[in-house]
Amino acid sequence: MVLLIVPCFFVGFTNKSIPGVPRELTYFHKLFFLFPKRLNFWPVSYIQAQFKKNGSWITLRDKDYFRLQPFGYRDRTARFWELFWLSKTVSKGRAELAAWVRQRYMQLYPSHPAPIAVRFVMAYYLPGRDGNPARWQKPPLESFLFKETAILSTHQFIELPSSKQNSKSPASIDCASGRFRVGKEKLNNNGIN
Amino acid sequence: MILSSQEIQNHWQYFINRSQNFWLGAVDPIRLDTFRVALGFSILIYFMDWWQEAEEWLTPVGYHMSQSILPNFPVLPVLPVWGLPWFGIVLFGSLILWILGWKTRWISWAVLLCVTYVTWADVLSAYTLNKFFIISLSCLSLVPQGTYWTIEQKNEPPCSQSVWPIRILQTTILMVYFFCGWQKIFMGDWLKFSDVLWTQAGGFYRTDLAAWMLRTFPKPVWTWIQDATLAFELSAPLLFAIRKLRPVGLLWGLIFHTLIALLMYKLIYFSLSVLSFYILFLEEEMLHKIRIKSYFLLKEFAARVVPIILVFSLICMGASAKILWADDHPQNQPSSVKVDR
Repeated sequence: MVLLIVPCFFVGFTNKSIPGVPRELTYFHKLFFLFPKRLNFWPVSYIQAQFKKNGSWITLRDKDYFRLQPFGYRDRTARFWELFWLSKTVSKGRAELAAWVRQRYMQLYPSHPAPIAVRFVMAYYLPGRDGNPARWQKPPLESFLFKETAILSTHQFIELPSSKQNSKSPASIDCASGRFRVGKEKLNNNGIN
Repeated sequence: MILSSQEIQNHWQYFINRSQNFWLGAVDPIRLDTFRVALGFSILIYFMDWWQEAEEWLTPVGYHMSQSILPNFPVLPVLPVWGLPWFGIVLFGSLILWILGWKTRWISWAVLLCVTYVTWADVLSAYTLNKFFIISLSCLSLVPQGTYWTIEQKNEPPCSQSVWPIRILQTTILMVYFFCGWQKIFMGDWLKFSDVLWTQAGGFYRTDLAAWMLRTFPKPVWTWIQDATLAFELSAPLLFAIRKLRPVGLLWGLIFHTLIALLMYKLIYFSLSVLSFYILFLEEEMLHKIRIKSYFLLKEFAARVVPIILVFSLICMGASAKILWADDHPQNQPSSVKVDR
């Protein structure tokens, strides 16, 4: 009663955590915020990599990195972006993901050159834009208009000679773009493939 | 009318006795025992689906947030790849034994530990359902189970048990319904816009059936479903608490969760888990009847159908293995990602 029901009443009415209660416990009181908002758009995330300076940005295949779909047809990055999408202060999280993506790429494709940069792109999928032909399928990034996309952050790595690729080499990280930057950064500058 | 102090004391005593009986009275264990089986099945099905991508889920093969980026949240270490099959044996073994009612007092702790571990080892895939499981298992682990639905031979007649776990679980599910409705109104948009559900049905959760409904039904139909959903959530405490209204609540809830399961991909697990809570609101006689009928059906099923299923499964496994190991299977092909050099 004291641990669950009484705190749940407070959280239920206010949608706020009880001050002073440990997070491990607060986690179990947040049960109620399910589908409350009208969605003007559904955010769709893409991971892109660049392999040489000023080269093209390649959209990486999601299935290589995230296969589990816990939230409808979304993969585990859905929760990641809930935490690290709009926040400027937690850009460390994006840097960690970018470094992991690079490392995973190098494991999967050891004969390919390592990415020198990884960036996260968000596209805004308007409900009903495809006429709902069938179940949800992630649209290709090219199908979005320029104004419907934004680069969330770009993460640079040291360019290594292909013979000395090292998976532990995330060097400098540019996480300046914490908010939507529609139009500020030219998404099509190097082309989206 | 002015009550005398004696009358006030009597009323107060009556209220205390009623409350005590409501929260701590003795009941037949059939409801909690049937709930255990239903919840066990829903956890089993849910984790069987997740297990298909177990390497990504629970080992360093997948991305897992480090403690440094989640400083205020417990993040448990993931398993080494070689440890995955062993963990699978513990997870699914304990779940199956729990459903079968073998040594439930101890096995339920093992299930609770496993569910808690996967919840905090991979924060990215855990959601409300994991919380439901942990809350339910915490309640169940503290009381005796396996009185009726069990493979163990019981010589003594079933004892009654305290009703408090049932009350906690009933209150939890009714709170969830009510506050979901509350937050949809006061922290959400459900009364501000008539197409909230329509926008949600067309997104990441959209199944083929949902797509067909979105194409076929005009928007006002979605508004009606939205209103019906909100009405159900807000009135659920009354519908389930008042005995005469309970059949309406159960039926309405069943329709509600069936629609969620059909229209929103992967939320069938959520629906199954929540529906298992409905058992806690059913009459004990009804549950005894279901148990006796199920016992005979299972006996017949085991004798006739299980051998056929076993043979069929073996054939299917052989066929799928042959397909998967074939050189021309897409999974065995090199990646189609082209790198611009």
